[in-house]
Amino acid sequence: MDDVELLAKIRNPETRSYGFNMLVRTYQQKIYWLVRKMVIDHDDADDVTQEVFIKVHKAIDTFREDAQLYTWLYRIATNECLSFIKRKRRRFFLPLADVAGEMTERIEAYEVAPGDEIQKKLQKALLTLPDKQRLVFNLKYYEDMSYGQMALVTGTSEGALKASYHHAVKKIEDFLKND
Amino acid sequence: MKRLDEIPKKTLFEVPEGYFDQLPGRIQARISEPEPQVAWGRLSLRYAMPLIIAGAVATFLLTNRPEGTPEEVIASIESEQLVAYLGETEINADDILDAVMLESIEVESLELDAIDDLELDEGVFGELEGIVVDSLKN
Repeated sequence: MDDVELLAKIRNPETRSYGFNMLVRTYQQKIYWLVRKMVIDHDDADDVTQEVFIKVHKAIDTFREDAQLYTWLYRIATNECLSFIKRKRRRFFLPLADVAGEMTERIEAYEVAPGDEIQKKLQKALLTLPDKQRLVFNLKYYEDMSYGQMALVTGTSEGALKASYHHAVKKIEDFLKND
Repeated sequence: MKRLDEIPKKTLFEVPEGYFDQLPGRIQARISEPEPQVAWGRLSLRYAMPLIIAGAVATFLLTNRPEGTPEEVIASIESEQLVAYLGETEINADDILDAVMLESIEVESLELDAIDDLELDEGVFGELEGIVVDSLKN
Protein backbone atom coordinates (compact mmCIF):
# COMPACT_ATOMS: atom_id res chain seq x y z
CA MET A 1 0.00 0.00 0.00
CA ASP A 2 1.52 3.36 -0.97
CA ASP A 3 1.27 6.53 1.08
CA VAL A 4 -1.68 7.90 -0.91
CA GLU A 5 -3.69 4.75 -0.21
CA LEU A 6 -2.60 4.72 3.43
CA LEU A 7 -3.78 8.27 3.95
CA ALA A 8 -7.06 7.59 2.16
CA LYS A 9 -7.72 4.65 4.48
CA ILE A 10 -6.90 6.78 7.53
CA ARG A 11 -9.08 9.70 6.45
CA ASN A 12 -12.06 7.37 5.98
CA PRO A 13 -13.64 6.90 9.43
CA GLU A 14 -14.64 3.35 8.57
CA THR A 15 -11.10 2.27 7.76
CA ARG A 16 -9.17 4.70 9.97
CA SER A 17 -8.01 2.13 12.49
CA TYR A 18 -6.97 -0.33 9.80
CA GLY A 19 -5.21 2.40 7.82
CA PHE A 20 -3.28 3.65 10.82
CA ASN A 21 -2.27 0.13 11.72
CA MET A 22 -0.90 -0.26 8.21
CA LEU A 23 1.00 3.02 8.56
CA VAL A 24 2.63 1.75 11.74
CA ARG A 25 3.53 -1.55 10.12
CA THR A 26 4.98 0.24 7.11
CA TYR A 27 7.16 2.68 9.00
CA GLN A 28 7.80 1.12 12.41
CA GLN A 29 11.22 -0.30 11.62
CA LYS A 30 12.50 2.84 9.96
CA ILE A 31 11.34 4.97 12.86
CA TYR A 32 12.54 2.53 15.50
CA TRP A 33 16.06 2.23 14.11
CA LEU A 34 16.38 5.97 13.68
CA VAL A 35 15.39 6.37 17.32
CA ARG A 36 17.45 3.45 18.59
CA LYS A 37 20.63 4.82 17.08
CA MET A 38 20.04 8.05 18.96
CA VAL A 39 18.93 6.78 22.36
CA ILE A 40 20.91 3.51 22.30
CA ASP A 41 18.80 1.64 24.88
CA HIS A 42 15.99 -0.58 23.52
CA ASP A 43 13.47 0.31 26.24
CA ASP A 44 14.04 4.01 25.66
CA ALA A 45 13.76 3.48 21.91
CA ASP A 46 10.52 1.57 22.47
CA ASP A 47 9.08 4.44 24.53
CA VAL A 48 10.10 7.10 22.03
CA THR A 49 8.89 5.11 19.03
CA GLN A 50 5.48 4.67 20.61
CA GLU A 51 5.31 8.38 21.41
CA VAL A 52 6.16 9.18 17.79
CA PHE A 53 3.27 7.13 16.45
CA ILE A 54 0.86 8.43 19.06
CA LYS A 55 1.73 11.98 18.03
CA VAL A 56 1.38 10.97 14.39
CA HIS A 57 -2.08 9.61 15.14
CA LYS A 58 -3.12 12.84 16.86
CA ALA A 59 -1.77 15.04 14.07
CA ILE A 60 -2.52 12.93 10.99
CA ASP A 61 -5.57 15.01 10.09
CA THR A 62 -3.40 18.12 9.94
CA PHE A 63 -0.86 16.53 7.62
CA ARG A 64 -0.59 18.54 4.44
CA GLU A 65 -0.29 16.20 1.53
CA ASP A 66 1.96 18.53 -0.40
CA ALA A 67 4.74 17.14 1.80
CA GLN A 68 5.93 13.56 1.79
CA LEU A 69 4.54 11.39 4.56
CA TYR A 70 7.98 9.90 5.15
CA THR A 71 9.53 13.34 5.63
CA TRP A 72 6.80 14.33 8.06
CA LEU A 73 7.17 11.14 10.09
CA TYR A 74 10.92 11.57 10.29
CA ARG A 75 10.50 15.16 11.39
CA ILE A 76 8.33 14.08 14.32
CA ALA A 77 10.72 11.23 15.15
CA THR A 78 13.86 13.39 15.12
CA ASN A 79 12.19 15.97 17.30
CA GLU A 80 11.05 13.31 19.76
CA CYS A 81 14.57 11.86 19.97
CA LEU A 82 16.17 15.20 20.71
CA SER A 83 13.43 16.11 23.21
CA PHE A 84 13.83 12.76 24.95
CA ILE A 85 17.58 13.18 25.35
CA LYS A 86 17.13 16.74 26.58
CA ARG A 87 14.48 15.66 29.11
CA LYS A 88 16.66 12.80 30.32
CA ARG A 89 19.52 15.15 30.92
CA ARG A 90 17.28 17.66 32.73
CA ARG A 91 15.48 15.07 34.83
CA PHE A 92 18.64 13.57 36.18
CA PHE A 93 20.49 16.87 36.28
CA LEU A 94 23.12 15.23 34.13
CA PRO A 95 25.54 17.35 32.20
CA LEU A 96 26.02 16.51 28.56
CA ALA A 97 29.08 14.37 29.20
CA ASP A 98 27.30 12.14 31.70
CA VAL A 99 24.38 11.33 29.40
CA ALA A 100 26.86 10.42 26.67
CA GLY A 101 28.89 8.54 29.30
CA GLU A 102 25.85 6.51 30.34
CA MET A 103 25.10 5.62 26.72
CA THR A 104 28.77 4.78 26.12
CA GLU A 105 28.66 2.34 29.02
CA ARG A 106 25.68 0.63 27.41
CA ILE A 107 27.65 0.33 24.17
CA GLU A 108 30.63 -1.08 26.07
CA ALA A 109 28.39 -3.72 27.61
CA TYR A 110 27.35 -5.13 24.24
CA GLU A 111 28.96 -8.43 23.37
CA VAL A 112 30.09 -8.54 19.78
CA ALA A 113 31.95 -10.89 17.53
CA PRO A 114 35.68 -10.11 17.31
CA GLY A 115 35.32 -8.64 13.84
CA ASP A 116 32.66 -6.24 15.06
CA GLU A 117 34.72 -4.44 17.71
CA ILE A 118 35.10 -1.62 15.22
CA GLN A 119 31.31 -1.15 15.32
CA LYS A 120 31.50 -0.53 19.08
CA LYS A 121 34.31 1.96 18.54
CA LEU A 122 32.26 3.71 15.89
CA GLN A 123 29.25 4.00 18.21
CA LYS A 124 31.45 5.36 20.98
CA ALA A 125 32.88 7.86 18.54
CA LEU A 126 29.35 8.94 17.58
CA LEU A 127 28.51 9.57 21.21
CA THR A 128 31.23 12.20 21.39
CA LEU A 129 29.29 14.30 18.87
CA PRO A 130 26.63 16.85 19.88
CA ASP A 131 23.17 15.29 19.64
CA LYS A 132 22.09 17.19 16.57
CA GLN A 133 25.29 16.51 14.71
CA ARG A 134 24.98 12.83 15.60
CA LEU A 135 21.45 12.89 14.23
CA VAL A 136 22.66 14.42 10.95
CA PHE A 137 25.40 11.81 10.73
CA ASN A 138 22.97 8.94 11.31
CA LEU A 139 20.54 10.24 8.69
CA LYS A 140 23.29 10.56 6.11
CA TYR A 141 25.50 7.57 6.90
CA TYR A 142 22.95 4.93 7.90
CA GLU A 143 19.84 6.10 6.02
CA ASP A 144 21.70 7.51 3.01
CA MET A 145 19.29 10.41 3.12
CA SER A 146 19.89 13.17 0.61
CA TYR A 147 20.76 16.60 1.95
CA GLY A 148 17.63 17.93 0.30
CA GLN A 149 15.46 15.46 2.17
CA MET A 150 17.38 16.07 5.37
CA ALA A 151 16.79 19.80 5.01
CA LEU A 152 13.05 19.16 4.94
CA VAL A 153 13.25 16.83 7.95
CA THR A 154 15.40 19.12 10.07
CA GLY A 155 14.39 22.56 8.81
CA THR A 156 18.07 23.36 8.30
CA SER A 157 19.86 24.47 5.17
CA GLU A 158 21.60 21.92 2.98
CA GLY A 159 24.87 23.81 3.32
CA ALA A 160 24.81 23.65 7.10
CA LEU A 161 23.95 19.95 6.97
CA LYS A 162 26.78 19.16 4.57
CA ALA A 163 29.24 21.03 6.73
CA SER A 164 27.98 19.32 9.86
CA TYR A 165 28.22 15.86 8.30
CA HIS A 166 31.72 16.30 6.96
CA HIS A 167 32.87 17.75 10.23
CA ALA A 168 31.34 14.77 12.03
CA VAL A 169 33.22 12.37 9.72
CA LYS A 170 36.49 14.11 10.52
CA LYS A 171 35.85 13.97 14.27
CA ILE A 172 34.94 10.29 14.07
CA GLU A 173 38.02 9.40 12.05
CA ASP A 174 40.23 11.31 14.48
CA PHE A 175 38.60 9.42 17.36
CA LEU A 176 39.15 6.06 15.67
CA LYS A 177 42.75 6.94 14.93
CA ASN A 178 43.47 7.84 18.54
CA ASP A 179 41.39 5.14 20.27
CA MET B 1 41.06 0.58 9.68
CA LYS B 2 40.71 4.25 10.49
CA ARG B 3 38.62 5.68 7.65
CA LEU B 4 34.87 5.65 7.92
CA ASP B 5 34.41 4.26 4.42
CA GLU B 6 36.55 1.25 5.40
CA ILE B 7 34.09 0.23 8.12
CA PRO B 8 31.24 -2.06 7.05
CA LYS B 9 27.84 -0.51 7.67
CA LYS B 10 26.04 -2.69 10.15
CA THR B 11 24.13 -2.23 13.36
CA LEU B 12 25.39 -3.20 16.76
CA PHE B 13 21.92 -3.32 18.24
CA GLU B 14 19.38 -6.10 18.50
CA VAL B 15 15.69 -6.15 19.27
CA PRO B 16 13.76 -8.69 21.30
CA GLU B 17 12.25 -11.46 19.23
CA GLY B 18 8.78 -10.62 17.96
CA TYR B 19 9.11 -6.95 18.87
CA PHE B 20 7.93 -5.59 15.55
CA ASP B 21 5.06 -8.10 15.40
CA GLN B 22 3.74 -6.80 18.71
CA LEU B 23 4.48 -3.10 18.41
CA PRO B 24 1.52 -2.12 16.19
CA GLY B 25 -0.90 -3.75 18.62
CA ARG B 26 0.66 -2.02 21.61
CA ILE B 27 0.45 1.34 19.89
CA GLN B 28 -3.15 0.67 18.87
CA ALA B 29 -4.00 -0.19 22.49
CA ARG B 30 -2.56 3.09 23.72
CA ILE B 31 -4.40 5.07 21.05
CA SER B 32 -7.65 3.35 21.98
CA GLU B 33 -7.30 4.22 25.68
CA PRO B 34 -9.88 6.82 26.71
CA GLU B 35 -8.52 10.28 27.51
CA PRO B 36 -8.24 10.71 31.28
CA GLN B 37 -11.25 12.75 32.45
CA VAL B 38 -9.68 14.56 35.35
CA ALA B 39 -10.67 18.06 36.30
CA TRP B 40 -7.06 19.14 36.45
CA GLY B 41 -6.19 17.32 33.27
CA ARG B 42 -6.79 20.20 30.89
CA LEU B 43 -5.01 22.90 32.86
CA SER B 44 -1.84 24.21 31.44
CA LEU B 45 0.95 25.17 33.76
CA ARG B 46 0.19 28.85 33.44
CA TYR B 47 -3.27 28.27 34.89
CA ALA B 48 -2.08 25.76 37.46
CA MET B 49 0.65 28.00 38.90
CA PRO B 50 -1.69 30.59 40.47
CA LEU B 51 -3.78 27.77 41.90
CA ILE B 52 -0.73 26.07 43.36
CA ILE B 53 0.45 29.35 44.84
CA ALA B 54 -3.00 30.03 46.26
CA GLY B 55 -3.24 26.49 47.62
CA ALA B 56 0.16 26.65 49.27
CA VAL B 57 -0.57 29.98 50.88
CA ALA B 58 -4.07 28.91 51.91
CA THR B 59 -2.59 25.90 53.69
CA PHE B 60 -0.13 28.14 55.52
CA LEU B 61 -2.71 30.71 56.44
CA LEU B 62 -5.31 28.21 57.57
CA THR B 63 -2.89 26.71 60.02
CA ASN B 64 -2.26 30.18 61.44
CA ARG B 65 -5.98 31.02 61.78
CA PRO B 66 -6.02 34.43 60.10
CA GLU B 67 -9.17 36.49 60.17
CA GLY B 68 -11.40 36.25 57.11
CA THR B 69 -11.79 33.46 54.54
CA PRO B 70 -8.66 32.02 52.92
CA GLU B 71 -9.66 33.62 49.64
CA GLU B 72 -9.94 37.02 51.28
CA VAL B 73 -6.60 36.64 52.98
CA ILE B 74 -4.86 35.45 49.80
CA ALA B 75 -6.38 38.30 47.83
CA SER B 76 -4.89 40.73 50.30
CA ILE B 77 -1.35 39.39 49.84
CA GLU B 78 0.94 40.87 47.23
CA SER B 79 1.91 38.52 44.41
CA GLU B 80 5.58 39.19 45.08
CA GLN B 81 5.15 37.96 48.64
CA LEU B 82 3.43 34.80 47.46
CA VAL B 83 6.25 34.08 45.03
CA ALA B 84 8.82 34.81 47.71
CA TYR B 85 7.04 32.37 50.02
CA LEU B 86 7.26 29.66 47.40
CA GLY B 87 10.92 30.45 46.93
CA GLU B 88 11.53 29.69 50.58
CA THR B 89 9.82 26.33 50.37
CA GLU B 90 11.20 23.12 48.88
CA ILE B 91 8.66 23.20 46.05
CA ASN B 92 10.30 22.90 42.68
CA ALA B 93 8.99 22.69 39.15
CA ASP B 94 8.82 18.90 39.23
CA ASP B 95 6.71 18.97 42.39
CA ILE B 96 4.32 21.39 40.77
CA LEU B 97 4.08 19.28 37.64
CA ASP B 98 3.54 16.11 39.66
CA ALA B 99 0.87 17.79 41.77
CA VAL B 100 -1.22 18.75 38.80
CA MET B 101 -2.10 16.17 36.21
CA LEU B 102 -1.24 17.82 32.96
CA GLU B 103 -2.12 16.74 29.52
CA SER B 104 0.76 16.45 27.19
CA ILE B 105 1.06 19.33 24.81
CA GLU B 106 -1.68 19.12 22.23
CA VAL B 107 -0.18 18.10 18.93
CA GLU B 108 -2.12 20.83 17.14
CA SER B 109 0.01 23.33 19.01
CA LEU B 110 3.15 21.35 18.50
CA GLU B 111 5.77 23.58 17.04
CA LEU B 112 8.66 21.43 16.11
CA ASP B 113 11.92 22.91 17.22
CA ALA B 114 13.97 23.31 14.18
CA ILE B 115 17.36 21.83 14.57
CA ASP B 116 18.64 25.27 15.26
CA ASP B 117 21.99 24.93 16.78
CA LEU B 118 23.96 22.51 14.76
CA GLU B 119 27.34 23.00 16.24
CA LEU B 120 29.72 23.94 13.57
CA ASP B 121 33.34 24.88 13.93
CA GLU B 122 34.37 28.47 13.48
CA GLY B 123 36.39 27.39 10.49
CA VAL B 124 33.38 26.09 8.66
CA PHE B 125 30.81 28.73 9.42
CA GLY B 126 31.27 31.84 11.49
CA GLU B 127 27.74 31.64 12.84
CA LEU B 128 24.74 29.42 12.67
CA GLU B 129 22.53 29.84 9.66
CA GLY B 130 18.96 30.92 10.20
CA ILE B 131 16.46 28.19 10.54
CA VAL B 132 13.01 28.12 9.10
CA VAL B 133 10.54 26.28 11.21
CA ASP B 134 7.75 24.57 9.44
CA SER B 135 4.64 24.26 11.53
CA LEU B 136 2.48 21.19 11.46
CA LYS B 137 -0.56 23.36 11.57
CA ASN B 138 -2.64 23.83 8.47
